[in-house]
Amino acid sequence: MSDDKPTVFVIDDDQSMRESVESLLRSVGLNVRVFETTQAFLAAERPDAPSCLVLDVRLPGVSGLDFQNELSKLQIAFPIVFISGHGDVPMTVRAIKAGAIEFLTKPFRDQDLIDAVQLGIENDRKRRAEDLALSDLNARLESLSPREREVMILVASGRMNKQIAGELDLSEVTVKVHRGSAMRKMGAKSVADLVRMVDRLGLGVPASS
Amino acid sequence: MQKRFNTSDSIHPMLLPFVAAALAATIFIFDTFSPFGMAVAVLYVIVVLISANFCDRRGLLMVSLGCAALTFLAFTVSHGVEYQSSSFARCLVSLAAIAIATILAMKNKATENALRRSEAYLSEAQRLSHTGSFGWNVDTGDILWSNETYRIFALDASVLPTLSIIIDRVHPDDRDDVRKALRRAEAERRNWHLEHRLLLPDGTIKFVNVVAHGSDLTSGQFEFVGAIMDETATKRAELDLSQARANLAHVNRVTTLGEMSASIAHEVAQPIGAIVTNAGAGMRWLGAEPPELDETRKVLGRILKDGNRANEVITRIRAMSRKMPTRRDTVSINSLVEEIVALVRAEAERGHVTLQLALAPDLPLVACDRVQVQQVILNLIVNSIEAMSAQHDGQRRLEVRSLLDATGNVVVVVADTGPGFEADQIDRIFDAFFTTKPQGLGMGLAICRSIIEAHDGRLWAEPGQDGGAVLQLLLPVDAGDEKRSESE
Repeated sequence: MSDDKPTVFVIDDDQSMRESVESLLRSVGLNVRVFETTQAFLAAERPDAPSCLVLDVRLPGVSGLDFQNELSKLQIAFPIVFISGHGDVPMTVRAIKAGAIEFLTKPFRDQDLIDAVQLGIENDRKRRAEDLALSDLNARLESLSPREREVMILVASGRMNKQIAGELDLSEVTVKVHRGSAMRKMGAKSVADLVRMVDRLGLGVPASS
Repeated sequence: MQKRFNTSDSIHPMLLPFVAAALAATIFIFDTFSPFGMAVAVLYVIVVLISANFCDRRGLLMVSLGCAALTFLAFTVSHGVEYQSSSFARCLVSLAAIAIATILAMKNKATENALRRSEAYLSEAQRLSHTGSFGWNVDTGDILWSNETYRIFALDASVLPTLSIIIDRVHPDDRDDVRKALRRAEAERRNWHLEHRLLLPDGTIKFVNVVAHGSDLTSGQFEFVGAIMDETATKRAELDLSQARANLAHVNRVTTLGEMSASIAHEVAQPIGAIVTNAGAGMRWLGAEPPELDETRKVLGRILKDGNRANEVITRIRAMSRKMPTRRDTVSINSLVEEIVALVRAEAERGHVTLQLALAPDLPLVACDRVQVQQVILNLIVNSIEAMSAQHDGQRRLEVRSLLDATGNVVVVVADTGPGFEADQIDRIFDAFFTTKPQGLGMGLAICRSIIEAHDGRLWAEPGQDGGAVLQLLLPVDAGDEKRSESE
């Protein structure tokens, strides 16, 4: 189920902040879900759509920065925009280095928050597309027979059919057949395509000497 | 430096008068009874020279006259009154010799005295300025030190200084640098200077600054003459200064105003942040096609709520400052002011502000919370310094006065030469949220007034006579101790 309307998740323990941010982001057409605690957020169901997280750095019990770590361990790759009632430079730097999109101190300009969230959603959209492409490739890879797979890898390394035949102890004709079906199953329109795909899948071998 | 060529070096000083007397006697006997036609009396010159070592000017003159008398006596005894003879001529020659020797000895003495006085002044100057002098003959390796240099190195004056003794007393961390510098000095034979630390045998660390000037000696050798300055006091003062600054920052952080400002800033930033975000949302709701009036209404409702919340925070904090359990120490206002001024001097200097204190002596003691009142005074002073930051240098004057006013209460006045207040602002500066600073929170003076009023005192402002601002705080005198005053 892929509902493509982007969603923003807001976690802040201050009710006023939650309500005002929710209203602001809704006013620019975004889907918004608010939570008072990180646990509430983790427990909730998350739609399969480009997302972004707006997180207060100082939450009772959990520091926003620690939560950032926790999320990456859970492989939740949402872009994060931090908001804070006070921010010192070291904290800001740590957050950005750990991959946050932005670090805003209250009171922030509403446009700044909107811009950061839009950027986050854009990044997430791109990431999802890449992930999708990769899983598609993997699915296609699964559909290859072992031989087709071997031949594909050697073709991508730049070897001639004759060489491949020699290495795999097959006839050149057989090699050509496997090569053709591999390319078809993978959806590669040229050898260059195939090379890129093999690279993406991390299967490449060194070129023959 | 101590080396002086001294005729008495080889003979014990106590013996000299006897030697001189014995010599005089011998010469007299020879002169009187010898058959030689020589001016034996000329030898009295030796007596005069020897006497110059242990006599003062008057004594020398007496010895000289004595020798002259002896000469004349000898002549009279052996030749009677033959004033036309060559013996008399010889007598005159001897007298002249004695006179000349005396004059020369006197001059020598005067020179010696002047030298000794000059050395005494130099020695005293060195002692006062913690500067020692030294001489280093690079070719022979001889090193000479003045007394003060010995003192700086904590070395006994009887020990002959050598490069290895010096290096021994250099702080281990600086030894390499010092060795390199000295080696370079030896090789290049150019003026040099060096700053390093000493680590003395008793563990004391000193900071020294050494400067040397090189020149060729007539012997063809090369010598450095230099000064070594003990800068430990200055360095300590610098460390104390940075410590005082750190203390100031610390005091700011952990005491009343500091804590309050931080918590106010945070508690107020939240509702204000929400208000700004709500307003932004409201603008967008209104700008939608068609405008979303319901949403806008909700937004405005929230803004109202958050605005009230911010207001409550202020009220609560002001109430808190009034109810705060104020400690009642019995305090000398002057000592309190002096402590704060000591902390703040560094800030004042950095802002090129001339800080003057005019504290009335013998003020009665005051019952107050020392730390809180210090914070208030600190706040007033820092406000003044900041207010004057846009003035020209030389026009930044801050005066802190303490006095007893007509009602018998203690008043502290903080007056600056800054831009002062607009006439209509004077009443409002103590209001919460009022500020003339671009980044100001507007809480400082409101809290200050709360603190002082909690002490049953008053805090108010007036325009200064020549522009600028005058902040005054009044504290009631400790009624039970009217008899005691600051002078005790």
